[in-house]
Amino acid sequence: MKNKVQRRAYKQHLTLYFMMFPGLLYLLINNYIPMTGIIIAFKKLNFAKGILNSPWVGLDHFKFLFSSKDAWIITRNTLFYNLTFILVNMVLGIAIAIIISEVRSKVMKKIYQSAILLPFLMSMVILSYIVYALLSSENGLINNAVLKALHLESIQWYQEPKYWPFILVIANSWKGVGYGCLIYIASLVGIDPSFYEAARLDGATKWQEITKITLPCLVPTIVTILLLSIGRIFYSDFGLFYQVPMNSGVLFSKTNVIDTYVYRALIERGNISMSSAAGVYQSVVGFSIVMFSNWIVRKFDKDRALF
Amino acid sequence: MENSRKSKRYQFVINLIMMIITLFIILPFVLVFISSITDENVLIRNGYSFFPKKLSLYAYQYIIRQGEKIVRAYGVTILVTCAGTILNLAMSSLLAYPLSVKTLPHRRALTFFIFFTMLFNGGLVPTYLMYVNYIHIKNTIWALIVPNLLLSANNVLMIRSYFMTSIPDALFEAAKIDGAGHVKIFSTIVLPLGKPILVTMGLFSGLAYWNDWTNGLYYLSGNQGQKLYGIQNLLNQMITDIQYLASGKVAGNIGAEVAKLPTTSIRMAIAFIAMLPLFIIYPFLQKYFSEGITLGAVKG
Amino acid sequence: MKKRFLTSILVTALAVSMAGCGSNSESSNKQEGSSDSEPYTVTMVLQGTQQPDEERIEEKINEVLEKELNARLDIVVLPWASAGQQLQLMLAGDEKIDCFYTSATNATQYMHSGQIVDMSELIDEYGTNLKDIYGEDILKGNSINGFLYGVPNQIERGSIPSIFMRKDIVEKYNIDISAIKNPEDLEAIFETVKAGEPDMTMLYSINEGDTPASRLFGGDTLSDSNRLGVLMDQENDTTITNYFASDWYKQTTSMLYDWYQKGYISKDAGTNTENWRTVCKAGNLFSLFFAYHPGTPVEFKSSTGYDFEIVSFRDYPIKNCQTYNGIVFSIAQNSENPEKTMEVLDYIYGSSEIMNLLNWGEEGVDYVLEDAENGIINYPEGITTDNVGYSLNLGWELPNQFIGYKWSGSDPKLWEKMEDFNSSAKSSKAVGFYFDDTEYESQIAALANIVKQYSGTLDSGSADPEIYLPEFLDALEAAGINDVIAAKQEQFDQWLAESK
Repeated sequence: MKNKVQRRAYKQHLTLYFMMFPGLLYLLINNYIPMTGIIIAFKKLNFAKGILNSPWVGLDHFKFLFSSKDAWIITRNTLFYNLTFILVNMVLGIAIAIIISEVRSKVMKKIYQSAILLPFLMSMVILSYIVYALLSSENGLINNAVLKALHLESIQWYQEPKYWPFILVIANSWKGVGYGCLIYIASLVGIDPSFYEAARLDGATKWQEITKITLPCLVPTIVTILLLSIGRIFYSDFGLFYQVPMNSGVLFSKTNVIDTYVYRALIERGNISMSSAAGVYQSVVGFSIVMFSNWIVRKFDKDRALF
Repeated sequence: MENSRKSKRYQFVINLIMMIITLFIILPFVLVFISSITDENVLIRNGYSFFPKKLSLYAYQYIIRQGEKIVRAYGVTILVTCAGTILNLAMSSLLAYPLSVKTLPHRRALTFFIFFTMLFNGGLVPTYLMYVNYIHIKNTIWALIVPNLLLSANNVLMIRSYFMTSIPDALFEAAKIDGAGHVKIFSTIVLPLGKPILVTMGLFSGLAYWNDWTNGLYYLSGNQGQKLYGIQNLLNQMITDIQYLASGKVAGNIGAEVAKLPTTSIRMAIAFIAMLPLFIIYPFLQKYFSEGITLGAVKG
Repeated sequence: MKKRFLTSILVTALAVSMAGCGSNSESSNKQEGSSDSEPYTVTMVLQGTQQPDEERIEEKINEVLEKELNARLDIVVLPWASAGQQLQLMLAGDEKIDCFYTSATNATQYMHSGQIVDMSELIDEYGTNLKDIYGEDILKGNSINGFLYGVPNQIERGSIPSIFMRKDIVEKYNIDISAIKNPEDLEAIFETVKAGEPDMTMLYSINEGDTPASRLFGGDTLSDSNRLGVLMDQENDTTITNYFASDWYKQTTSMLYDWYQKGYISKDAGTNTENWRTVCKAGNLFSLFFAYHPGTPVEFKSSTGYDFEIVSFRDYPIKNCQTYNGIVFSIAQNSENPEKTMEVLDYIYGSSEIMNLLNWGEEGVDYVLEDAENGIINYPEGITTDNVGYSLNLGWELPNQFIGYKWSGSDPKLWEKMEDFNSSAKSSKAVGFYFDDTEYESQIAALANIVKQYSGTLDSGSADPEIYLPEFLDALEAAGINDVIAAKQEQFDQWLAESK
């Protein structure tokens, strides 16, 4: 009996499975089959023997991640920056999205929407040139123009770790806010306008409209973005942490993250197994955190969870 | 009366905020442009500046002299971006819609199947082996389109989430009662109403293609491969080569190579022209955004 | 049910995709015999700038090779910065690649992962020119436990740490360069010049590669770019010591820091990413520390436009650990015909015709002889760097530049001087030694991060060694530098005993 129902359910949804086929096939080829290569992290790679026949070495390749006191610094930095980035980008993204949607002039609206997109086009390396133009000790605009005009001492930006959490957060927001912002704008467009009309009839203030209608309607989008970004919490943008601080050693205490550590550790040697091990470590941690968060979200609202 | 003055002041304040933000966003681009027309020696001696001591059009003359190479790279980038974005959007929406249908058996498992690809990947070498040894993609145009960029789990899940929350269930119910099948619902309800998110995700995918240089780096090599370089590959190769040669990692005499390298102003000029097309494309996309707005109004 | 289905797909896929790499190499050796009829194409991977007319030159080369060896050559030039990664990928896949340019550090890595072949027997059989040039001893020096990983290129052997000062400035301020004996003596000169040229940078500095400290170092780094355990006195002493804990390092970095504070070194030295040639060309640089060999004055003149006064801090060059394995050619495991590859490679070592084609292109099209007697060439009328079809100009990266032409402006007797220079070189105790560090990979990876954190700022002069050096040494010790040094010493002692 149950079987029959199930079979009918499959039949009904057959079209849907067909629709999904190309996408699923692509993921199989692009992601799942290569994913088996994760075993490289546990093997002493020998291409002459083939990957499958290379000898196992257990967790040896993971050791370098934990074998110095840098392990703590890079983990702390990676987590701290990612959490800050998620938070700052979310707050700024929502705020800007709401402001833009409130602007009445169509021309201005278009200009603002275009502007927040621009930073996508700038690569991190070029951004690092810009940051350098601002901060360099001898020719930097901040030292030469701003601080001089205020009669303040010039600052050796690339020698002072304490400023870098701020610089990196600003640089990241400059480049990354647009992403969330555009999605929020798209979601705002989707909100049923009759809600606002009703609110206005009831004499609600702008602030009430935002907190009582707009934000609650954005919650599903926020949760999705949040869950998606949590999965990558152990990864970081290499360019931001390597190029923007100009690889300055003095700043490592505030700029070294897992990705830059792995890069610096392996640059001379190019050991595939070790870099693969680092990737596995990052993925496993991200996976655990995201499963946990999804479980929590599911407890509250089944529909909002990712799966 | 009171109300409209209040609303004017409100508009003034939010416009002011946005203008400051816009300025903050645009200034770096201005700096890139000005550096591209700054005299090279001034750049090295005095650094970047909004008001350089000496201007020079050398960088743009150089680019014009490189003519064919740059034009071809532009062509490759445009082709790859268009083809890639269309394929990506088609596959993503086809994948996202079924996942948003709450009655679909194994929906949760399938969503997880997609989400999981965001968390784990086999790393560069296995992916490379897959594409080069079995799909034979190396040094073809497909190398720029297929690997990694053709479908992003992130986009699929964003689209799915939008379909689920922003399209009223009542519409689906009504369509079902009218006897519409999934294909019909997808093409007449989901796609039109999903336009805002589809345009947004299409934009992201387009930008990902436009900005990508990693596929070119891994899957194009040698004389044949470098003919397929897109504009970002050219730019990236220049910048990384300069850093590499400067760092003194090369054992031998590289004087002649360093002399051949494009100068800072040329790098900036190429960075600038690589961004230019978006200024042209964006007004067209804007139309869809505002269309989305009116659609939103209609459906209520 | 579904799960099992999925698992079985994945397992099959895995087996197919992974097993392929192994079987590939076995099938390769079968083809040896059949190569008589069809010419075998040797794919040679280099690093540099892609040349527009590569195919035209390959045709020219093939005319020779087909006749002489029944072989063809296909050059693949990878871009500088990404070459390492692209090569790694090419060697991992089953792509066509026969021989390639690399260094011992990478070659040994490839050796351990089975990506290159042992060349010792191949050289015995086909290495006639190689044996002529180097002799058996030096050739066999590039091997670990009998596995010969690469053959050296013809380049300068050894170098002399020197100061290069712009000649026009030296003359303008009447500087007596004979008074310079040690790096410390430069201080007075910098003071004079700085007073007259306040905007000029006195000494070039950067945080990796050509740092002043590493360019001044006269010892043997034992091919370790992180300098974890070096020979401070390479001619006499066989004790491997911690470079960063040496008195020399402390003195040098203190001197540099002092200059940094006095404004002789740029305040941006720690974040500099411009090559010194670019900086010098802009007219803003007075001097730099660099390694001298007979080719440098001409190269510097042509790449910067300035003449230099050169003062060396040593009278003779010293061959060190890297001399014969810094730049080598290795043969890939992927090669379907290693014998033919070796034959072609060896042939190039002895063929000035092919060397000239590879390096300079086609005579009359890409270059003309300016001075036939001395073999000096220049661009033909109307051809410049911008529009030349083929001009690789990377002699040091090719097998044997000493038998090729020299570019206009070069010393007519450059190669003879180079040979003299090479034969005048004394030897480090460690010439030919290579530390096999596979057992210590995780320590070295951790140590590499520490070295990059501190040495860049210290070497460039932009940090105070009084503060940073003790911190640096503590961190190194905590990460186990002494274990690495001890292991290196053990291998070195064993190697010394065997080679005597």
